[in-house]
Amino acid sequence: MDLTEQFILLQAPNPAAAENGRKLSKKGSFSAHHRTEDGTLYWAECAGSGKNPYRVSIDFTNRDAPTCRCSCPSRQFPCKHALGLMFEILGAKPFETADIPQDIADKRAKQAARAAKKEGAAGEPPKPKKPNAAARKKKLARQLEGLDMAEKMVDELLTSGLGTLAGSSAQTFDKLAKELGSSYLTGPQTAFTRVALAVRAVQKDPAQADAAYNQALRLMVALRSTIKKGRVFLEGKLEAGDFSAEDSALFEALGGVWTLEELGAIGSVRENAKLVQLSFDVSLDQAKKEYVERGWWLDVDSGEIWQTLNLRPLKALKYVKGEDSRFGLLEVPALYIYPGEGDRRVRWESASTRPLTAREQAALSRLAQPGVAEAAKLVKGKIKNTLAPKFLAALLPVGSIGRIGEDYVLEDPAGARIALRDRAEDGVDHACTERLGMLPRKIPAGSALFGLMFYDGRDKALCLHPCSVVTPDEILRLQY
Amino acid sequence: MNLQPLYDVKERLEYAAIAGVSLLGEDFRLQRAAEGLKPLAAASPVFGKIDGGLTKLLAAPPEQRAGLLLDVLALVDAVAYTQAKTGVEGELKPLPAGGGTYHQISYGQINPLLTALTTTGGGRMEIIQSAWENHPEFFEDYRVLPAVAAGLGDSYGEIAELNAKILKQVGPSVVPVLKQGFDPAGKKEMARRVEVIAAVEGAEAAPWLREVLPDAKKDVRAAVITALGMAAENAALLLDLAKSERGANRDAALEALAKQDGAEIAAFWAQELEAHSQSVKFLQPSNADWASDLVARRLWDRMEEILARKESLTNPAVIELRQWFSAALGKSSPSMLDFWRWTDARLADIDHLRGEKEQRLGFGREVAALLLESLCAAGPGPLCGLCLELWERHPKEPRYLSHAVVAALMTRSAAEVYDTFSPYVLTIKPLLGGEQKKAFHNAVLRALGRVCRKEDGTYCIDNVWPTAQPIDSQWFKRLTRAVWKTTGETRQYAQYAAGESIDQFDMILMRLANTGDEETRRQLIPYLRERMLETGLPYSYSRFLLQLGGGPRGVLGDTMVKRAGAHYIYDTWNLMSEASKTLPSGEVADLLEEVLRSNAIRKEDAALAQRVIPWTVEQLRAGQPFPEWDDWWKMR
Repeated sequence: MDLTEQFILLQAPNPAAAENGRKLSKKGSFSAHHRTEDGTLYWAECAGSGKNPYRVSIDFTNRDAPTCRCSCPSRQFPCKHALGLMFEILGAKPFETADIPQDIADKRAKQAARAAKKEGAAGEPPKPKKPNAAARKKKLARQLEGLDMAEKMVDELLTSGLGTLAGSSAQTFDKLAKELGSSYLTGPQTAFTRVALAVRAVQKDPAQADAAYNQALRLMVALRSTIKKGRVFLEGKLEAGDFSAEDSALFEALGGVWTLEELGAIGSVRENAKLVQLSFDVSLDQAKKEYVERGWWLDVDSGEIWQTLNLRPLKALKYVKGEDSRFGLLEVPALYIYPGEGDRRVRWESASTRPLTAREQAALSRLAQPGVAEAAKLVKGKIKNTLAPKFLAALLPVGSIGRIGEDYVLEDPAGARIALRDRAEDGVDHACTERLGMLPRKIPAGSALFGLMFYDGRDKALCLHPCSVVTPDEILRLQY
Repeated sequence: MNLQPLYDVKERLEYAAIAGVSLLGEDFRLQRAAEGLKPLAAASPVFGKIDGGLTKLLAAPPEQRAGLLLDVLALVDAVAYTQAKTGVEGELKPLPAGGGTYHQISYGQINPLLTALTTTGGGRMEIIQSAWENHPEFFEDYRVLPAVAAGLGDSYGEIAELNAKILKQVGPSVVPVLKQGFDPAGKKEMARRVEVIAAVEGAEAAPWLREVLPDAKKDVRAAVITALGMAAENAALLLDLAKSERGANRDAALEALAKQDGAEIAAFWAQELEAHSQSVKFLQPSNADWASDLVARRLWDRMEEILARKESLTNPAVIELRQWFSAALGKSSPSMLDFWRWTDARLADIDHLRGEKEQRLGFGREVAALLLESLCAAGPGPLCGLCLELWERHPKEPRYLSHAVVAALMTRSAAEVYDTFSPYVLTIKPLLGGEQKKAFHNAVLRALGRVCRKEDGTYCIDNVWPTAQPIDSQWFKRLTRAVWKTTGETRQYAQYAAGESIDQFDMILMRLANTGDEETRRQLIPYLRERMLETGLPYSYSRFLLQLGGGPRGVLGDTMVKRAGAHYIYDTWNLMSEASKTLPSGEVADLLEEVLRSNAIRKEDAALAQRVIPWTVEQLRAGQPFPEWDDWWKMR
């Protein structure tokens, strides 16, 4: 079994579970190691706190998504015992060959039957869902009412001034923002919460006033745009009696949530995509009270850059599996793409990983933009849209990277330059630029720099927040 | 195109949004900025659109202003974005290669480590230690290294020390990271950086240390001076520093000079010890012959003078004398050997030295004990010969017997050690001279007490020096038949066994025993069962027996009776749970019945014992596993 530590960590619900599994393996808690002749099933006993050991097994019938089973009462899945057993396999512990235990054979058979049923169902045309037109109409009407309220909130806030958002007025504002959630407008609700958080940040630390007010104003501008465009969008749907999800960024801006089925229905799906992760980061979204685990991916066929977002609400942290950095090439049978412009969000149901060949690795940096100027044009085109995030992920070709005074600067092979700096909004835990000065080796010719291009209002310049260096031999990640 | 009017408008609109649009009519600066935009509006349609928006905004009734302001601001933003520049003027200086390496480490692996290294709070030590044990390569990673370096200033001292230890082991790749941002006037963190650099680079760090020395302050200065001691080329500088520095920095210079060699250094130390006798403590780690000779000569002179004065010693004088003897530990130059021979010759006089209250100091015994410590610090070498020589000179006294046993263990064959020294462990009670013979017995046991068996089957002294051969297994037969089953030493607390204290004698036996050796087990199992009954300590001895593959059946109940009413039911469960891991269920059931029959459980637990023990016996006989403590406790 060609198991890697990286693979085990990806199975773990969180790093602590993996670490606990490793400890179990290290202290020799496992006994009665067995495996089937074909190496698809491993099982053993693991000493727990009770008298009787837990019976743990890992079924590698699907090598990319093994089935872990354990008799322990843990609600984490896979539990530390299953992860520990994977470490036993990784550590090349001796496993005695034996026949598959009957209980697992039965479970396997049931699983296979379920899969066959699902596969059979996949061939059939899906049953058309009967839309509840009255309910959807009611929802649209409620959303329109909500937009009126949101507009009123914007007006009132700007009439009295953003700086007045404190004390009891802030509490009233929070209350009103929550009501937007009841109007199915979670997008504007979150935007208002972000505005309130930004203004509160000024009150806590007046030194941050410029940045915080700037952020709050950009949110207000986007909010105004969402309200205006949203109203037209919703009224149009109401009039047309069309209640389905639509290929529009407005759908999400208003708080809509896409399902894979809906993305498939609008044809936003690509088959047999090959992706390589360029960077990974995690941040806490204070407004939505959730962790955002973001991966940046390069499509090795088209050169497009995608992002994955794994959202883990703080309240349900234990129950939502954490994402982690991925290395190697990910082969995705069906890549679902969210509506939007540039670095769009993607998702998939299943994927398999394999190492990149030297040739594939060498080709990655060649997928970079032709130069700084071309990338800048794309960024400007995107960020001037009021609804779009004010950054764009970009892979830029490296002529050289160096310093001019205290600033880090990238010069593309044609001699065009761009300043490299950290995006203040991402916080100090996302700081990467200084790490360029610590890179253990020189950046070879033919490399590219991946990062987020953004507008810095302080000197009215487009800058790049560097995330990783893509050389012909490897991807040097500046963060994770 | 000069875009300043656009940015002025943007700034005024933003101010208006923060201050409130109700004041917009009075904002003459916004109006002035709008005026400034007019020429641009004439030149370009997009600016014309902004101008139109501004005119509308300024003329709008208050209730419409908010929306209009945001609309204009959206337009201004969009233009500002499209006009953003990208170039940076100036000469581009290439980046230097940093320290460390790059490893493919996932977020899940690196983030907990970085968090532990860079934040505060509990649980961090464990994370760092675990990462170090499982993935030492993570610490070379260029993203982790700076955090480890910064962690040298961790507010939790143990983490800072652990980081220092890690960096020392990572090796030369840490040096550029540590030198980057080094502040010679910094605090403890910077001092630790110096220690790490010196440990990693050794003598090669000397030029950098000399470079930073002039600006180094406080802790950092002391660390730099100490580190200078690693290179011979710094001898002259250190000699100067010993003259110019004061306090902790001078101590650091002395510590550094103790690592130096040469006639000039020896002369310095001769002078230094003449002027400041207490400086001898710095010479303790030095094993150089000149240091050994110097300490021996001075100590010898000092002792002769003390003995000649025939006066009682003041407390400070006693402390200073002990400092000198401590400095002699591990030193073995010919002069030192002669000094020990001289102390042996004058031991009676030394033993008569008195303190300031005319009390006997017992210095003779202390000096002999120091020689044993010195031997154990030095390991195989000339001190072994000396100790055997002194023992051969005084075979009728036990004074040097421990020394001789240790020396022999380090240098002679196992059989020879056994043949020479086992007769001092008597197996037949002597009719005459019992006390003297017991002293010999204790001396041999004291030496054996310093030996332990390692997992790989080898034996070592004080966990440092290997014995010449594994100890002879005949010792077990001899020791188990010894007349005195005690060392005369303090009893050692055995932590896992209900607070019982075990004689050091039996602890030594268990430390030396190869539990897998049949012959050893044959000797020890009956012995330990007997000892269990003699001492009335069931828990420790039962565990010893279990370790050897034996069991306490037949003696457990009788042993417990010796302290009837003092046994907690939990201790019984704990022992039986342990026994159930190695003994068959039937034997555990027999043991439980013995416990019940003994009626020795304390009265508070007696009723519970009457319920749980028969039930457990029944369970075990029915092939069920030994129950959990909870199962017993629930039956109370």
